Amino acid sequence: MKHAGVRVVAALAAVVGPLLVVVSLAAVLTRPEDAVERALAPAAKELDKRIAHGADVVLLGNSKVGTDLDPDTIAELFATPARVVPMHVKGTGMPVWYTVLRERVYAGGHAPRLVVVYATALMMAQTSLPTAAQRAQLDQQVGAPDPVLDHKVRGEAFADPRIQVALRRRGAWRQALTDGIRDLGVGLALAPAGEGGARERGRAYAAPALARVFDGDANQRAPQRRVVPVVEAEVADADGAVRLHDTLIPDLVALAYAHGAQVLFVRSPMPDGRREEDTVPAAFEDELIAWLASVGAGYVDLRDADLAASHYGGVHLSRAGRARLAPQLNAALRSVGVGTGRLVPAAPPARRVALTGVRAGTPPALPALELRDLPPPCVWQAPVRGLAGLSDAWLVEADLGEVSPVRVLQDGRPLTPHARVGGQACEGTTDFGLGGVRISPTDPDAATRDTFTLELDPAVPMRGGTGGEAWWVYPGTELTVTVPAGTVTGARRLRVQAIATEGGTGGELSILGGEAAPLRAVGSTVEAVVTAPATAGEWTFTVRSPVGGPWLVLRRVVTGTEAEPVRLIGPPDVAVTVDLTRDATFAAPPPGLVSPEAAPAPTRTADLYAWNVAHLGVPSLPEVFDQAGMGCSPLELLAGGTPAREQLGDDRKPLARLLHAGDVARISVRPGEVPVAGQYALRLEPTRRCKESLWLYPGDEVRLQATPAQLAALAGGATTLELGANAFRGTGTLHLRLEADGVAPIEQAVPLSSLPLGPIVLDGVVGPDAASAVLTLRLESDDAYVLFTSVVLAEPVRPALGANP
Amino acid sequence: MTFIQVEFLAFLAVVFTVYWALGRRLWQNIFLVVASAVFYGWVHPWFLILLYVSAIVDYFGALGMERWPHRKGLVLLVSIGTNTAILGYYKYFDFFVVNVAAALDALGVHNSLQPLGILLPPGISFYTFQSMAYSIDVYRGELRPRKHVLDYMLAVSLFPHLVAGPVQRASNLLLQAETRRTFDLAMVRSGFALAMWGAFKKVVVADTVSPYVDKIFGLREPAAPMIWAATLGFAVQILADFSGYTDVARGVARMLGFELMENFKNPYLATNPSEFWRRWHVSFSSWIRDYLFIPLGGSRGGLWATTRATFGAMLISGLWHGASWNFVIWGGYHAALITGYRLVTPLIPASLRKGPLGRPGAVVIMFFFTCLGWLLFRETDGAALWGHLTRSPLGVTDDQWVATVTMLSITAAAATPLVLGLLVQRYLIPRIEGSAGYLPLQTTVWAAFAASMFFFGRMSAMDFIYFQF
Repeated sequence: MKHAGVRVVAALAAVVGPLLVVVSLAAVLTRPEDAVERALAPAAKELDKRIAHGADVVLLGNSKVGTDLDPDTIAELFATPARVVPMHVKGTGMPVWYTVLRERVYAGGHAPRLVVVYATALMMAQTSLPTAAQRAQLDQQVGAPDPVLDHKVRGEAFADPRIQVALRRRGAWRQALTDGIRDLGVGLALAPAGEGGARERGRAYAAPALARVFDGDANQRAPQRRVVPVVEAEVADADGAVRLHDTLIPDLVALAYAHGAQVLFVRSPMPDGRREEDTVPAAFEDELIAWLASVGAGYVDLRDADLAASHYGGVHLSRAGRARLAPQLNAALRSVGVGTGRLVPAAPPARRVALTGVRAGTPPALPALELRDLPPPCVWQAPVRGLAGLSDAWLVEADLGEVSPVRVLQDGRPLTPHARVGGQACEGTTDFGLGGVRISPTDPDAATRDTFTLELDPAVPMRGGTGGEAWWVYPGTELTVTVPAGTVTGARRLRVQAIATEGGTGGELSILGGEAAPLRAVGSTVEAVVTAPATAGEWTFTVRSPVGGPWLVLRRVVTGTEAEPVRLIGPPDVAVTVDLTRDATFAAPPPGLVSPEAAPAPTRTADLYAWNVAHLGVPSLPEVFDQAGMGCSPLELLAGGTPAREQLGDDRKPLARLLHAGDVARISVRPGEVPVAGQYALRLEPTRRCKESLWLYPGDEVRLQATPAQLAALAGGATTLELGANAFRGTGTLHLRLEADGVAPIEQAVPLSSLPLGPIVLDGVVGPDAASAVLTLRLESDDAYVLFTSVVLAEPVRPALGANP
Repeated sequence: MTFIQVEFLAFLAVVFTVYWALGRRLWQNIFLVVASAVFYGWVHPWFLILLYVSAIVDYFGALGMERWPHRKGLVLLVSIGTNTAILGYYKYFDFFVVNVAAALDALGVHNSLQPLGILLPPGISFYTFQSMAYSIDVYRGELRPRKHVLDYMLAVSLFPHLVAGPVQRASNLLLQAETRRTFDLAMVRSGFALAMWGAFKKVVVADTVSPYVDKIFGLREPAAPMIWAATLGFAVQILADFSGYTDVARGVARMLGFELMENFKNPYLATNPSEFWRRWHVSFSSWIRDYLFIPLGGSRGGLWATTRATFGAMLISGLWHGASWNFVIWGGYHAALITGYRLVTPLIPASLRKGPLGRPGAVVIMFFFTCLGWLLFRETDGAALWGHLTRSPLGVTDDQWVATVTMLSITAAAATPLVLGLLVQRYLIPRIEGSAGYLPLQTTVWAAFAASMFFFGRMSAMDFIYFQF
């Protein structure tokens, strides 16, 4: 009996034990989330606010929509005023965008004419919600259960919202656990002694250190295939071919069509070094384009937009990049019928032609290095005279990116070029700025022990700091490029455009079996065009630079015919522009301090910020902020009479951060601090600069000048003036007068309501030989503010295979 | 379908229930063959064609060897040729093309050779080797050819071992397929426990450490301590991953009444290279020994003959693991280790070898060499591999030390369950196995394993892209 009783108890325990484990875990994981856990930006409310006044066009996507696209520029495509509303959500993918369209746009009773999805192809195809934040974002947007989401995103087995909560929570706990192990290890082994336990010290020490090690394009190799070869089951299943109808693309299109809208997918540009983050199988891409064409939806591929590395901040475009992209985007949108009421199928994107190159000849010897010790530890500098045009700084300025061919060898071993120099430790890196090369050797004694020399990168093509390709032709060498068979059929022209960064003149282009032509200066480039008869197989062309000739980097190489050009190297031609905002001289200083109203005691605003925030009323500046969400305010925060720079407080939360939105300026303060007690004040920022933009305050007058060097970049001369600007609050008139060599090709007064303006056709041409071009802008208004994002003189786009100049 | 997918759980539940309900061996075998076809063809049904072609060729080949004994050499050649052709095409064709193209380019001969992007059928390396082993055993007279195609097909295609081994000998599985299997609760419980342990190792240990390893190997120039820490992590990862898979395979097979050979016997406790290969992937290394090493001369000849046979067998062994030169180098490396050990051992004083520190010291030294081999195994880029091996351990920045310690911490945490598991299996379970409290403890541990797998399981490949080190 006793034994039987024990067996019964054991059997019961064998069932109860595991049940307890499972039930307890399930209970904890699936309990409703509290406000802290769900504390995210109130995306749903924010989106509802954006579309509150309706929309003709909605822009869906992630943060790239906010940084890369200018809704006002897109609105210009439409004959009647169109309201273009960005409905993007940061850090999200297609599942959220589909839900935004369903829940925020259509469920809100709006009926846009056009739905634009702007993203990488990878994000368009996304059906998973890989991060807790994305899952939370989706939950914030979702209303009624959606069978599409249940099937394609959650999987039908997981339609239950409690399971979603559990999955979300376990992701956070898992990361917290592994982070805790990391922090404990680092805290015990490495973190400096200080307050707090080992884990706290480890956490503060580990995160920034690991970011420096792993972040940054220069640190990463191309993504490697996951290596588990012995278990072939995973290899086959990991093939994971992306199929169009498994994605949410057809569902989004169907949803838009059901509400009478057109749909356009725009594949966003990515910086050269991060293109691999938008890799989808070619078969999927072809399937996508063909299917969209078959259903009458649009597709535009902007991956080859004319954007340099300097136009990006990470994967996002800078303000200059956005201005650069805007005309290209509009041209692309126009080509697929946006604004005409009917979208037309886009041409399939041209595949990059796989070129190979060989260099022959002896390049010039590079000068010896004379190292000087600089104040930061382990940083040495050496001037490199006569080769400033080979520096990354010069090349970035020329929109070529970090493609300097100069490498530094330490005892014959190349140091990492285009890299960060100036940290506390010796890192074996170099950079080449306008002042010469800076070197961080591999160890502190290297500078005195080892030999440092310069060499030219022998690779053809060379890969630069952000992964961009560069085809260099050094003086005294020739570069022969092989074009695969079948690239062009029939007789063809070949146009080579290069930038001469340094050195003398000269250079020649020749094509196998065809003619040769000298490279001639055209604006800021050198060019040649040759013709050749048809050839069936592969063919070559050669670019030579004579001894003592120029250092050339190929900017653009196009072949084929004018009707069917084939770009071999470089981006498509765009209009050459001259940015006039670089040199701005204001007639008078700005008005004085802006008096804030007395504010209530600092409050904690839990819905938006995690730190103490004080609100300052700024009644004289209502609605003066960058509506594109870029955070450009004319206000500057003063602390104790001097400009306040953002700093970290004792609890590592930001202080003295100013957020100006409408008639409220929020600043972060220490707990208990009263901001309006004399130490904080606001004024209009005297330089009027905000990133790459320029403010005009009421009554301001500014002279914007182009230098002769800038004007020389215009091959044929500028024929249009474009003003990218937004006017805020109030009415007024903007007087503009352009003078070039004493002649005024344009002078007019425009109402602020007509901004942005352009392109304005000039009465005449501002040629490359002009000694000066000055644009005077005068704002006649007592209360209006104008933010200029771009002021450019532009020349027309040249034909792809233009004749010899 | 893989063992760690939700679909597999449902599949196994159905198969287990119906299988034991059928009772009769004939119906059980039919059912298992069909279930195995469903399992293998789940993602790509046409891969079944390859499996059956390989199996049918060897089935009829074995019968042919019996019918035409004077032609059995030719028949064996056909069998081996067919299997190696299948394996060669699907696994090695693109590798071959890429290398030929590179060689021609180096000689200045322009060519337009392009790899075909052939999809690798899962388990092809395993079932082709198993099929060849059957043919060879019949040829040698060690096994009679089977007449009942059903039993034979079951032995070849039994789903638990199909995609990740162990590489079964035909004699082992054929006998079991031809024998009646009766339901035994203890056997099922044991199988379930083994499968749970295997799944735990795969999902909780291997998949936790692998993103950290991948992140370091993905750097352009990781510091020397970082790469060695990542190699240590990879050593834990690959053991947990591979042994986990085969434990699931063995556990599931045991639940169905089949016993597959043990494949991993605490390989990191090996004291010398030969012992390592008697502990690591035992089924495969014994296959190599019996069907490659011994036919190449084995250790019967002198040093030179033995060395030749060792290198021949190990180079092919390396290539079997993957179509890349680093695997060949890895195989050659282990051949060099085995040969070197043979040469060096007589020079080590017996007092040292047999002293109190002899065995522990040998284990540590062998583990070091094993990890060096894993570095060769893991890094497929030759230039990067050279960099890892030659990079100076000096000049490491503080940030890089943080990454190193992070990797080591995660590795230590991930390896802890493996060590605990070993200790529990060796010392605790034998003591409590018969007690009343063992069953409830066991089921509670299973529930904890399941909970851990839910907690650590990664739902999609994107989890790795968004992973934070």
